[in-house]
Amino acid sequence: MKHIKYLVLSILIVIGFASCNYLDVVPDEVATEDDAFATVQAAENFLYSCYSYIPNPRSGTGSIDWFTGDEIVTAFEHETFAHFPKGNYTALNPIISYWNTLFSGIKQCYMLINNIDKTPNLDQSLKDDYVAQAEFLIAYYHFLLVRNYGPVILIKEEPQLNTAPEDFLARSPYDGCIDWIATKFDESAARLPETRPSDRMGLATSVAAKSIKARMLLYAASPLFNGNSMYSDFKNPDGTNLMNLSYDVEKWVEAKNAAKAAIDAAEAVGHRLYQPSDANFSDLPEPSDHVQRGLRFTLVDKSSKEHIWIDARGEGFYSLQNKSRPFYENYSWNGISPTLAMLDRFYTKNGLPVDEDPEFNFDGRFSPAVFTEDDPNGEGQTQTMNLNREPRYYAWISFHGGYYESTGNYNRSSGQWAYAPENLRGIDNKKVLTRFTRNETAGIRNRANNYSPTGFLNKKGVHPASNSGVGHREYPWPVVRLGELYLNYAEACVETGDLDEARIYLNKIRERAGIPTVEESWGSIGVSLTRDKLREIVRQERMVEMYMEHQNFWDMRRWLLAEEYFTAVPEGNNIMADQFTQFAERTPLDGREVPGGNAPNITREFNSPRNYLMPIPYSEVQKNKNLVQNPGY
Amino acid sequence: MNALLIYNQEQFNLNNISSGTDTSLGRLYNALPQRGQSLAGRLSYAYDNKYMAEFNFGYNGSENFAKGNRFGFFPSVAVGYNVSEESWFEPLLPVVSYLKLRGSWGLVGNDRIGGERFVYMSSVNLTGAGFTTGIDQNYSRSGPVFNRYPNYNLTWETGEKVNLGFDLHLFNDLRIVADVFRENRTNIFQQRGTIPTYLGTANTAVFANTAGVRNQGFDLSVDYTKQFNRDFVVQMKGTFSFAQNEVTRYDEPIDQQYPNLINVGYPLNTHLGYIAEGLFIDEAEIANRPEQQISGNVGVGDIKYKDVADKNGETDGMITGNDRVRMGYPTVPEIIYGFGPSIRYKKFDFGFLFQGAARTSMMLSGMHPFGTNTRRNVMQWIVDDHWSPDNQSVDAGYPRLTQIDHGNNTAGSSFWLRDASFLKLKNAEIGYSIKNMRIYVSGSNLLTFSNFKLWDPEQGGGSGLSYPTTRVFNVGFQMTIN
Repeated sequence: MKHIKYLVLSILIVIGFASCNYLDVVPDEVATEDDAFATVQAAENFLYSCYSYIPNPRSGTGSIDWFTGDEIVTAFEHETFAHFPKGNYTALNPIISYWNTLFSGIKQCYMLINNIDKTPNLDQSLKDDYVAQAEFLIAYYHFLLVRNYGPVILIKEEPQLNTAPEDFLARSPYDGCIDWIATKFDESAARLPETRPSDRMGLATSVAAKSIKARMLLYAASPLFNGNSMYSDFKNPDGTNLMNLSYDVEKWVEAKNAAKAAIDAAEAVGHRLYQPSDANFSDLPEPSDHVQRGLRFTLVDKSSKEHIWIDARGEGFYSLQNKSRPFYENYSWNGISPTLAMLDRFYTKNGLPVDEDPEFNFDGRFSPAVFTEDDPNGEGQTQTMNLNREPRYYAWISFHGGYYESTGNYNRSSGQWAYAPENLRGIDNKKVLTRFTRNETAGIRNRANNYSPTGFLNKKGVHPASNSGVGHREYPWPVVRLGELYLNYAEACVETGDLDEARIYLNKIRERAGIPTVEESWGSIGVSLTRDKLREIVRQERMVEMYMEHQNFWDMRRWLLAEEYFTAVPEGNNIMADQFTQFAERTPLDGREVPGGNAPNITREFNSPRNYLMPIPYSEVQKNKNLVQNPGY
Repeated sequence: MNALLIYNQEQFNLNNISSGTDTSLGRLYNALPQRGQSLAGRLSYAYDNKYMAEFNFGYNGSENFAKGNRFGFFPSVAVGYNVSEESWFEPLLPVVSYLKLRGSWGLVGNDRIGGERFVYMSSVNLTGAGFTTGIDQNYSRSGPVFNRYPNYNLTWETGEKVNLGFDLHLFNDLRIVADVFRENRTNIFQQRGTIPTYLGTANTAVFANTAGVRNQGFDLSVDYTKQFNRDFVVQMKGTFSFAQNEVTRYDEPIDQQYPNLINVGYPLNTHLGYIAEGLFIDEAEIANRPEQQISGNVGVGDIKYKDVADKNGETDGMITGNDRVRMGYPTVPEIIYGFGPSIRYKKFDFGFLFQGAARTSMMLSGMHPFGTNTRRNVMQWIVDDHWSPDNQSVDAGYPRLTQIDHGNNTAGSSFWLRDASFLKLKNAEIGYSIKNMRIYVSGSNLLTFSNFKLWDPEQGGGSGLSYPTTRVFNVGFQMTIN
């Protein structure tokens, strides 16, 4: 009897137990993938999320190609980007690596393409536009991968999470990658609009697609990727060669055609080089020199017709503008300084390189000099190298005895000396005089940081409306502008032997820059414009015109010049000296003893040949047996 | 014979939706009750105080898993045998006053995984990725980011434990308890480590029950109490435990070119580091040795490392992340022991306790030159013993100092590995009692004996700059008032 009672009780418990869904606490309101395409607005949000994976070009600390070339040195050697010029990156510790981000972006774009049909009430034309933009982004992300790593894995359809390890994809040969990406750019260009309304500027257009394709083909035709024997052992595990070892001039022809097509498409829609007359800023009378004004506003004028594709994300407080301006406590950090190597690239006012112009005292360029009364580019004591230079030098470089077009709220505190009334110059006091000897307004004084290691400062990209004490002036950043396309075309023309065409387009850039044409400049010193000479000229023109526009890091690599330029010790003036004659001395920045103390110690290292490409993260190579690491890592 | 059957159903309401979170998802989760449901039972049997057996089971359900995987069955069995109760044991009783043998086997489960609820579901942040367009940079939209993929197969972590032991009393005053155990934990919840990011999964976590760990060891405790006379009592206590674990399964590429990097086969909490072979003497040595790629700018006075061979026995001529090996003992000590007497003589009482840990190592880190980008500091022990152009000793305790972080010298390696075993006088107390009062002096953490001299090894590795262990001295007075 007792046992039966227990038995019945047990059975009841077990039954009660099994029947309820007591543990079903799962919430229904949690967001799922389907919510991402539930409304028209959600679809647009998804489109924007696809763009979010583009590495922000203006991330001061995190951009791989901005402060990391040999154009500048900074006082911020402890920040992340500074590891790159020091050669401190390895497969296990790549420092800045876009491998993960870009593949995530590619997947996001495929998700849009495969799911956009779920959105109810979405206009067909809008749907086609979104799909075309996603295709463009897939091509663009692959291009960024190829630029960083060389041959990469091509993602031709949405990747599946449950792919078996033996089916993991391998890298495709470089030429195959370029061809596939170029086709993708063509396909998306055919379906993208040519322009965007003003609040959607930054989204893809057909002109942008053609321009990026032109840039990509230019890289693919360059010596690093075109017949480079240092990649003879670069193979997949199954033995396929990843790089084509034989030089092919056809690649330059393709690059030339693509550049011309992009130029034609851009000009057809109204893009043209920015001219000084475009700079309608009545509240910003400086720079007052006509040509310099145009050059200074080219980058920062948001309504410039030269910008083909912009990135509208904000610059942020700790980026170019606030780090370039003369010192103002908490607002301007006086730290982005062009190196001697970069300063020497700027031409003289005759449009000639400083070591070729007979009128220019190259060997004595460091020696003290004085600005004449009628010279509008500076005043008082300066160095020989700052006299008689081209307008781009005066528009983009700040030097001792020169001017900085920017203002500051001066209220007599220390740390604001650069903006004191006695330093204000120009119309409406819209520029300041800059001096870089130790105890002067833009000198190092007693600081351990926020100083100019070379005794020069950068002005390019700094909006003249910036006000230290308030902050920088935002503007959208041009990812591609027409000027670059002209230079791409000119370079491809030189390499394919089309020298006349190359000169025409070089001259367009030079004319806007306020210097004589190549025929006039080199004609005046009796140098003939052979193909080799024009190659040098087009490269130097590009280095000057595209200064601080994310090109130097890649150009030096694709021209195979990085092992020369990226290992050179940066040089500048002796910023530790208070006396001008001691300041105006050529000083390598290797920590040596100089009058006034020790020079800044800035190391530069480049390991050839492996540093021409970035390392693929170590864990990825281990997980995927079919993925080979870049050579040397 | 005893039997027990329990049905348990519980609900826990947090009643504070903002607790521990400020996301709407977190608040939603806090608003939902937490529920558990389980059925447990026990059957125990004892015969004649000699033979004992017990059988338990638990059938537990957790809300943390998907339907179909919610319940786990966890039985266990234990037997005991009081040998000293046997009739044939009587002649031994004066010597062995008590002997019991015991053994058990069982399964246990764990559902507290993932740190958050409903980890088996996907997690989407609908506004996680934003972009801006517009000539005035003012048109922004944000789209979804997938934080986690779903895995509806997630279920209970299971541990299988086996234990054998005995209780032994000798001469009525010495007690020994010893146990040998082994536990195999399987289905341990972890993040997948074998999914390549080219699939687009870099920002998205994927979880599964793929890890396993085995832990085995023994425990011993000895207790001796002797009362010599009314005024003199001595009690001694000692414990010793040893446990060693090993990772048996882990989601990582198994056939790696460098097997020294895989987790399987090694204990948890071990150090992965480079094998240091001293300091560079001169530039010629740097040129002749494999190129060290941990960081750039390798110079004379830096640490030189060994190139480790891969699974085929070949070295690659470069020092990179694949030249790290497991070294030293785990950070969690494998041996913990303690002993101490407690003595009462007339009105004095006196006791102290030693405690020690052994078979453990720690890695120094974070004590490298620190400060701002241009002004750096170091600790005194580095100042006293480092390589410099004036003191070019390859046996220096610290390599050359640099102004900026120098990855080559700060990387974890055998150069920075230290033996962290120690023996401490943990407690000591002397007291004197009169009638109903007692005064005493006591202290804790009084003495430390260790091979490591820079700081208290109980603080662990790192730079020693954490809050130090305290040493306490007390003087006290106790009085009982009726």
